Amino acid sequence: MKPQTTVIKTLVALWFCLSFGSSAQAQPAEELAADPASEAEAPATGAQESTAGSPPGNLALQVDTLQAQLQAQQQVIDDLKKKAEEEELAALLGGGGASAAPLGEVEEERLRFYGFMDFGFDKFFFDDKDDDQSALGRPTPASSFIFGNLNLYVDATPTDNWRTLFELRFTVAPHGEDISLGPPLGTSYERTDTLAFDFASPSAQYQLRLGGLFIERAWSEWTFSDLFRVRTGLFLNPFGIWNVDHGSPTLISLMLPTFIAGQMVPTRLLGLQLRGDALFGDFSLGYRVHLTNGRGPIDYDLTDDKAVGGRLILAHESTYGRAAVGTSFYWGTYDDREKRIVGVGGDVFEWAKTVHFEELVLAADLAVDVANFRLRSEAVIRRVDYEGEYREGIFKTSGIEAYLPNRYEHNFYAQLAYRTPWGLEPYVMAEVSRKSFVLPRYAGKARASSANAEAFAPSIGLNAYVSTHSQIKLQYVVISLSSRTHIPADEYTFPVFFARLVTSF
Amino acid sequence: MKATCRAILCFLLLLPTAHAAAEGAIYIVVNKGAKVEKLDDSELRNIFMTKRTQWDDGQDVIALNLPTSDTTRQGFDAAILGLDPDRVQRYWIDRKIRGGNRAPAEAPSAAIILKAVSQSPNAIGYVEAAQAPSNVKVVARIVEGQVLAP
Repeated sequence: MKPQTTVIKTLVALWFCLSFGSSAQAQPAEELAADPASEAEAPATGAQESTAGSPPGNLALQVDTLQAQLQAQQQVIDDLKKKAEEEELAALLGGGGASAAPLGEVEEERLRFYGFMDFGFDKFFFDDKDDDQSALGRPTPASSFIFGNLNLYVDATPTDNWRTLFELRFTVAPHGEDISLGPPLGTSYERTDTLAFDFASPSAQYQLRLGGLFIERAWSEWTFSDLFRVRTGLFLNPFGIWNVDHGSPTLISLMLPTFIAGQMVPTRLLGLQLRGDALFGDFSLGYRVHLTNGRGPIDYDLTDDKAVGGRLILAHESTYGRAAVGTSFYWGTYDDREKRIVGVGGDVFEWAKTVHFEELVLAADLAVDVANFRLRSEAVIRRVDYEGEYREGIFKTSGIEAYLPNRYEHNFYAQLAYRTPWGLEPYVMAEVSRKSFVLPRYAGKARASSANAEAFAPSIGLNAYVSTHSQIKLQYVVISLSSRTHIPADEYTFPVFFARLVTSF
Repeated sequence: MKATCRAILCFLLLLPTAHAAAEGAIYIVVNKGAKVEKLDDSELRNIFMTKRTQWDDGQDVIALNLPTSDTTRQGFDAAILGLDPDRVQRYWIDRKIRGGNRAPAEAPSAAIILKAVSQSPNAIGYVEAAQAPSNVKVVARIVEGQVLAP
């Protein structure tokens, strides 16, 4: 059997080589025949042959003709060069140059697309049997690859003083999220499943796991001067450093500080913002003030009392680096209402207030970039006061009803990084916080799982700048939680490891 | 122990943060008809970091950069921004992610910058001293990494 197989293989190989070789040899001849350049060469060669026996007068005439053709072509080239230069100029000068640029070139400048994405790996080192994992939003402590952010920016300046920016995050959420905090007795556990048939697929069995789009921000801004700009729409709350730096390529560490992750201050606001910067040599003083719907259960404001906030930043910038101190505030109310059926005919529904509180959040921050060092630090304090019985519920495993008290919450972090000339940036960070622990909507009305949970989270990390547009970020954090009211243990400590490959484009 | 810490800190602080400036002098140029006569390093920094986007008369500043690979650009960035080419690019990536002002437009060559500056009263750019013609106004000079008056 074996010799036969070998013979067959050899014959097949021989046939393949012969047929491939012959087609490879045939190809240049075919290409040559189809090449207009080679066709064009033929008459020229013929002309040379014919001129060999021509009288000298004819030759001089031909030289003159060719000379004239050459000059004409040179003129065309010069005109095209000039036109290209003028178009380039017009595009640089925003269409107001010497000549009108083609629409496409100017439009490209006025509309830009860019963004960033990160992909990584997480490992939580907590006990598989501990119910705390539910509060962390992780079904198991197993390690997992993570599809992090895929954010796309669309940045347009339709006219010189107007700018529109929106940022969309593509996410797999809400696939996989629990339907409820825990299945009631006698019912089964459920999680959100977005799997759906792809009706457009030729294969009837093909299914898609649908994801979602999250609007990070979408605003329009009008610039009167550097000192006065008006921004409207959905914008990131200009509160402190972190929420402005916002993206994984810009931030030093991976884990969000508590005041951002736990929404001690609303990170996105819908409304109106005035902003500007005054420049005094190396110093600048910036302000941002905003009037918005504030925090609420939905984007539509359920009451007329709007939220206000602001930020002041004093910065010094020189070739040696940059130092900035800032202070921010946010003041607003939160209202939630529910619809109740009160009768049949006439007034069927009534809206009843369920939660009402007033909150004031104050912060101070410091950012220093000197030599190769980077220092970031923020301190945030929040006061929450409820109106009477309109309080947020606390989930308790015992089933006893409990509500969040009026309270102070706080958060402080500091991080110090050092950028080596070799593209590595090690850093250390420490964070302390005390706040209520809020769960997503699956927790129902009992959104908070505990009041005034305290946490301490020291961490170390390393950023490796692989290229200008990509970096590998690693962070190891030890999280210590205490005063948890819904678990037996008063204190709980677990380490976490995060890794991300971050690419901006 | 303290001495060791001090030595390490000094070493870290002294590590280079920006490339050396280009050898030749660089002229910062504006249109002949522009009202500005001279600009210092902080004004240039604010303009080329797009913090200052308007001239005193309210007209929009059209700041023009050379490509990051250009040695004149590298000399300019080192002297004015204190950043090497890689950090300059990261700076603008960070600004984009934050949603901040756009970077100055990038002209492909010094010739284009000179033409733009000579045509637009709002444009500002920089070229090697040897390339600066007489139909533009010099508002600052960079000589051996130092920003000097015109």
